[in-house]
Amino acid sequence: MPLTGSSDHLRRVPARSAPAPGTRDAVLSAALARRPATIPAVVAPYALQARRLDDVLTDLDAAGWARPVVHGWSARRVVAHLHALDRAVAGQVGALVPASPEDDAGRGAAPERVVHAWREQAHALVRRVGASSVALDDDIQLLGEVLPVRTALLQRAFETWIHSDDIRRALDRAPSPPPSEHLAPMADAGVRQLVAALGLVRPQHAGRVVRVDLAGPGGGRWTLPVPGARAGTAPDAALHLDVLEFCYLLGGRRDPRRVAHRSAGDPRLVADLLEVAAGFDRDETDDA
Amino acid sequence: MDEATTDPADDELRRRLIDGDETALGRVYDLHGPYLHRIAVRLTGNRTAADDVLQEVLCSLWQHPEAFDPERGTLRRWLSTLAHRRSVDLVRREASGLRRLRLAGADPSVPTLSSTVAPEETAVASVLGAQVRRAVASLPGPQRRAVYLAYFEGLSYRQVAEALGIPEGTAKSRLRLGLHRLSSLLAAKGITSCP
Repeated sequence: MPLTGSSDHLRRVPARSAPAPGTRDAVLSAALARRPATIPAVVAPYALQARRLDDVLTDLDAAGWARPVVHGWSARRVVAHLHALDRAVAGQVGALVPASPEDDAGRGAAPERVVHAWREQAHALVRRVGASSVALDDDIQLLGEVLPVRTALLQRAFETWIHSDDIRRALDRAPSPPPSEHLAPMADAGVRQLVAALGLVRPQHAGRVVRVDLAGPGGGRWTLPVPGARAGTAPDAALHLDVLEFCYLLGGRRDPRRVAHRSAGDPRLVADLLEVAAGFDRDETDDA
Repeated sequence: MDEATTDPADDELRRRLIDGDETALGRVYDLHGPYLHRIAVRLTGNRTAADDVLQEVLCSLWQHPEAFDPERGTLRRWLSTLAHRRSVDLVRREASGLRRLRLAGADPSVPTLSSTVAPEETAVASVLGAQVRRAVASLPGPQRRAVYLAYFEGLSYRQVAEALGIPEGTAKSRLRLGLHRLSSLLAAKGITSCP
């Protein structure tokens, strides 16, 4: 009964090989044909962040609920804030959960009620998008901006992540960044929105070309013209930073003058890019 | 599994797969697909067959994610066990097809898959049958898994080590200990030699 009798042929096969090009798509399509996804890619980042926030909230005790988390807000107020913005999206895609009178108690509602209302709304939004009944490229309004549903869902995922990390930090827990497959679309949307916003708030840069290099899993490289004038092709400035640092900057959790980065080209353009990025955080103005 | 440590990332991936999150499946492919494919290529000797193995393994995970138990080992190890099993099944099916062709007097062209696994399995099953399986089942867990993979799945030392996520030397010593114990168990039942 030879131990390795069956393996002689194996030694003739090269140890290194890779799946044929296109295998990834074929495998995923075959799997999805057998069991359709209930959480499609477009809403998966939001679904995961909502799930993670729910896990963090489950662990909060009375002292945890009372502790300031960010901007002097308690965790209850953070959840109420996320809920309000989720409702703004849900209302425009037919996923609004009717608010109960108990949840209408404004800032006086008990944390359990606030969490319950937020969770129900989050689940309804995921279900609605998962049922393929939402036109993802239709524009909706969020915080005075017009953006496609798919971008709004990424924005909700992003903000849920940033605020979940706020709560983790208040509890002395390690941050929990999204997996790279979710970070990638968030970073992509962030870079594009940033360069578009630069054209609006710093019109003197219109037509100039910016290169953004985000390092690490989920990062990438973008070369984009600042809208508003005919652009050249060569970058006028290049900004290089870690993809997570970029996201924290966009989330208002990094100082634009201190965030670790490298740059080349026009220093004014780079400084404005960083400053506009840090100004994306709208927490203090959205529910005042 | 004894060598396993629970990976929180595996826990979350399992939960996402159960929820039906398609990006979790993409993540599994990116993390483990190339590794599983290499295992399948080594076992089947055929890249197209390896593509099929990879597809079947990931479809199986997507359809039954709850079958993976993070308490018993990492996702990588679970998937490599599935890849081994499916690869060996494929080789056996191909081998029996070739034998049928030969019996029918056909002249098969160069086989695309190895035909060397099935005879030992058949011999073990038919000659020693249930007694050997019972004896193997009574071995301590680490030895049982190593012996099972080597004899019933037809893997080499190296592949046993890979499947169990242990060094090759450890795989050898487990097999040695397992075989020693197995021969004692079989001797006690009056079986003194293997065919």
